[in-house]
Amino acid sequence: MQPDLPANPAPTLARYDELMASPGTPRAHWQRFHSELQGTTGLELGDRIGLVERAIRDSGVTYNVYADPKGLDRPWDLDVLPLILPATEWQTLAAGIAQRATLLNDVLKDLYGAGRLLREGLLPPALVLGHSGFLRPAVGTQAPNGIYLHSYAADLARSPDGRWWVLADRTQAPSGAGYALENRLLVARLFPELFRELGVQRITAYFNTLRESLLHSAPAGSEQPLAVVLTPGPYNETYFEHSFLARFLGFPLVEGGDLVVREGKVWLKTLEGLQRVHTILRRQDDSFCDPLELRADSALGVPGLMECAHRGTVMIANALGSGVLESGALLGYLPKLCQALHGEPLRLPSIATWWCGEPAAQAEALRNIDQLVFKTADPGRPFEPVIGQELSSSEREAFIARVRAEPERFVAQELVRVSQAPTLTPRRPDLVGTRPIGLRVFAIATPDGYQVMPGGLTRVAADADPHVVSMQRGGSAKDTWILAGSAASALPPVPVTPELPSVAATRRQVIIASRVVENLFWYGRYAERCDHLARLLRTGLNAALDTEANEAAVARVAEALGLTIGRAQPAREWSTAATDENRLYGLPSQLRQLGQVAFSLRERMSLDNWQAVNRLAQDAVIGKRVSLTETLLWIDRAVSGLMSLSGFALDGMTRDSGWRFLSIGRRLERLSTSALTLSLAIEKPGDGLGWLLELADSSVTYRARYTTQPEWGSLLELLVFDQENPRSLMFQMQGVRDYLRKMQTTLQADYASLWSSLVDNTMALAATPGLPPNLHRQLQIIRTTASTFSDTLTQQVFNHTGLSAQSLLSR
Amino acid sequence: MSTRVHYRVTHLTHYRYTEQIVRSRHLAHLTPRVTPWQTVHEHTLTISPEPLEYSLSDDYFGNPVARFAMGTPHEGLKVEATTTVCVHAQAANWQSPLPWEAALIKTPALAGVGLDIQQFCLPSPNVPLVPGAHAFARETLSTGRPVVEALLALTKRIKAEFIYDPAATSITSSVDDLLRRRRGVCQDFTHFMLSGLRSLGFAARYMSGYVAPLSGTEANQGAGASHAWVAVYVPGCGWVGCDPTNGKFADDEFITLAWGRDFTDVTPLRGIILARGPQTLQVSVDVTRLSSPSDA
Repeated sequence: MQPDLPANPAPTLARYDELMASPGTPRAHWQRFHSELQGTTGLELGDRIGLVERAIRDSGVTYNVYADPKGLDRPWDLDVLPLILPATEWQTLAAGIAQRATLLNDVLKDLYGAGRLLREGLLPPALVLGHSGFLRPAVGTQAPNGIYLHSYAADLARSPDGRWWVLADRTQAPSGAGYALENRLLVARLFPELFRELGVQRITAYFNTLRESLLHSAPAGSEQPLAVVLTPGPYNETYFEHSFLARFLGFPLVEGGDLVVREGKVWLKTLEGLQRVHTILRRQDDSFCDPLELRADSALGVPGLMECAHRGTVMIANALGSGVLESGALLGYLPKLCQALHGEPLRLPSIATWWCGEPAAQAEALRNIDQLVFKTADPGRPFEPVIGQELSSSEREAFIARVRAEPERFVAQELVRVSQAPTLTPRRPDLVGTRPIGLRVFAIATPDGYQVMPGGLTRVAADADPHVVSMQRGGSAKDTWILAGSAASALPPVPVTPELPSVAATRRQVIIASRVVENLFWYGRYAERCDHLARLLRTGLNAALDTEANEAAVARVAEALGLTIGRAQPAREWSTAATDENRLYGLPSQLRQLGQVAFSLRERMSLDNWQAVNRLAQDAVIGKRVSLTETLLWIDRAVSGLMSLSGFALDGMTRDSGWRFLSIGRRLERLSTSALTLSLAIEKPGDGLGWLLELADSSVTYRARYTTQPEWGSLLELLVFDQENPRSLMFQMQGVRDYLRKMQTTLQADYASLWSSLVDNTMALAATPGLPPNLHRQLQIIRTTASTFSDTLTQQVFNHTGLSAQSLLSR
Repeated sequence: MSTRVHYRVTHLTHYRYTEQIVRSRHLAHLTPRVTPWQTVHEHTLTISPEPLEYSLSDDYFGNPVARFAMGTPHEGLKVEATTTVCVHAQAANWQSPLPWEAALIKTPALAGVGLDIQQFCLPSPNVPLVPGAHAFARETLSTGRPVVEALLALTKRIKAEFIYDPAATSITSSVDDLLRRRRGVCQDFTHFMLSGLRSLGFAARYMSGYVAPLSGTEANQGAGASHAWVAVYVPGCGWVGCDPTNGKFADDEFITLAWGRDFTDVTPLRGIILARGPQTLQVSVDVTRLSSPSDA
């Protein structure tokens, strides 16, 4: 079948302006916002932008939607002015999106099922069979309920005549919906009155629907379906969004290694054993999802997942193989496919596109080369877009030869002059600018058909006059406001799918992947390590500034922890250890590690908790040379920030196995450092004890209890044997023992008895007055036990034995 | 009635792991497919230790594929495929008056060929369309040259100009690697020839299987291992087997396991294990010509 060849490219015109109907006159749906803007001073706006920037930094929103060539994470660049669209216009767009999603789902269903489209020539074979996203092992898979395309996104742009066009379909694992929600949360706070007054349509219902429909689409027979979000891991550029989504939806965020296939079903590894997984919201490209059947050059993914897809035992959103639709080559065929499959015209047109695999289209594309941009037809075999008019005559010859040699790889598209919208950037808060924009919209499958998010992710070009409409070259993002409009034209509210059985309402045990439990354990250890380090630095720096204090004793503790404090200028050295980000075992590097573990636990943490971690790891003092006073202030800030982290853990987390392991991590770390500190002090009993009490945060308790100057007997009572002092070894050991007792059934092992005997043996020394001769040895035993027990947990409980998936190939 | 030859093939793959492996999953293209020219009399796939899960089905290309998973600790994996087949000679039918240009899939006369043929003229993961391979093929396929003769000439020329050297390349070597080093094994020669033929517009597929050790009294290259060759679609002849490793038609000395676009589609044994250390692999293939099926 021939595609519909587009008419010759239209001559370029001025851009459509989203805000202004004509100079000086804003469009009707912008009037209210426009007058508000005019009544606001640049200073006020600057303040508001500052607030947004801080909120973004605090919540650590990062992303890389614009495919930074260096793959660097960068903070989310949010333009504070929303894009506003009236209800009627949106209604038309949304209907077009829903129709398109339905059509694309049917195309997928056919390509991986009956195969009619290829057999009857409704699609050219090379377009599909030559696309690296057509996964042959997926042919014949059964998507539960016939839903192959669960989540869909389309990139739209508006041409100078005011019409919207689809530039690209996103069918693999569309990103951006989470960012759209994040934008909304930030921008709605900036303009709360306007937001309410204009009746901007809410988008949170979309995420509730997403949640319900994912659970609803689970294969038949799953009473309490378990859905997970599958991520390639924290190094992925949109990891922030993965964790954001997982947290919002209440699904565990898992990596390939957390899942295992047994007997044709997918299971999640948890402390309590394997839990059946029914639905996977996949944020990993499908060719990496099963290293056994798909790409063997990467061991990411879940070996055997394809087999489960064949058996229909798991709903994968989107189905493995859905990436085949991500090709500009398909655009030209959609109108006829829509007629053939649904008997109706395609409502939302695609941008004029010529797939060079079709001889007639190739000839036309090469004839109009100057007005077109050439892109890859297969994202699996990418190249930089080539803009015809930018080629020199020799480059043009070479390029034409390339197209002719392998025409199937090339798609030519019209260079649309996309619309422009007002922008407001942090650099010039006093000046409203104008930039070209594109809009990504989202739809999800429900039993009632596709639901479209009433909003979207508006992307802003970095240049005033970009050639490539995809705008993958920097730029920022905007919130998208769909107005409620008049009562007559208003959309019915998005139904929260009442006909779905309310799976979510049934309370189920919270399921945590073993890897997450392990990360919580390490989070606990790092948090405690940072806390101890900050106190050590404070004690050391104070001692260095106080001629009567024993600074050398504190430096010995630091030395034992790997942090050498030079003797020439100790105060400066302590200060450097607190601020220099390159200092090994220094506070900034330890906080960074804490931040990294926290990042991988993002979906388990409250926003406040996460912001507290993030603020610490990014404190303004870090990396700067500051005065000693400023250093002391920073350390105080760090200590109280770290205290608030333990407050979050104590006050804000449910007492599940994850929490218990976090606490065990904290306690093992504290045991280890306290035992070390005490044994160093015992080795030089003449060093005085004041620093020891300060380091253990127990000076106040000591003074309240004992009227004498610090002496060993009472100090040991407080720091070793006291069962009520959270800084004592006994308190920590008993805590570890009690947590392990509580988890005995879960862990199916008796780890508590090891700790019981350690508690008893230590307690036996309490009868000896003064400094018991065996105490030093006992401290060493405590230290060793804490560290070997950490290894035991890693190997036996977290089941993480340093094994990695290896791909074996043999001929 | 064409002549027939019987073979018995034993293909042993032996992994020795440096540690105990608890779980692994595998996918094997070790069961020969039944074709119009090949009858499978007997086939067994012996896996040791005993797998926990096992299933046999057909893949996208119609090749038998075995999937299995191990679930108990083991320190090695042995997979032994033994097969008795009967292969019919077909080369006598590979005659065509057509110039090679008439065998290209894009010629209007071939507009109606099925998807099962068309799909083999496209590039694939291991067979990109490499200009060097295209130029090499075009040098031999001079304009208007009769297709079968031209294909045989190309097959012979690859054998003549490249050196068979198992040490030169690995399982993941590319067409470019071969062009640079001028040496390789059957898999490399096959990918190279496919790249040249597909860039010209032929439908050509990757054949995986075995070659008999002797051709008369002359030894065939590659008999101690699994083998690979090319099959090119020629109207009127069907799929013409060409073995660039031995510089001849692939006829009744060749036992077919499976075909696909390239090695990635029909890798004899794939697996994913969870392990720390490196693994050692030993593969041996023994092909015996039988005087009659009863010898089996």
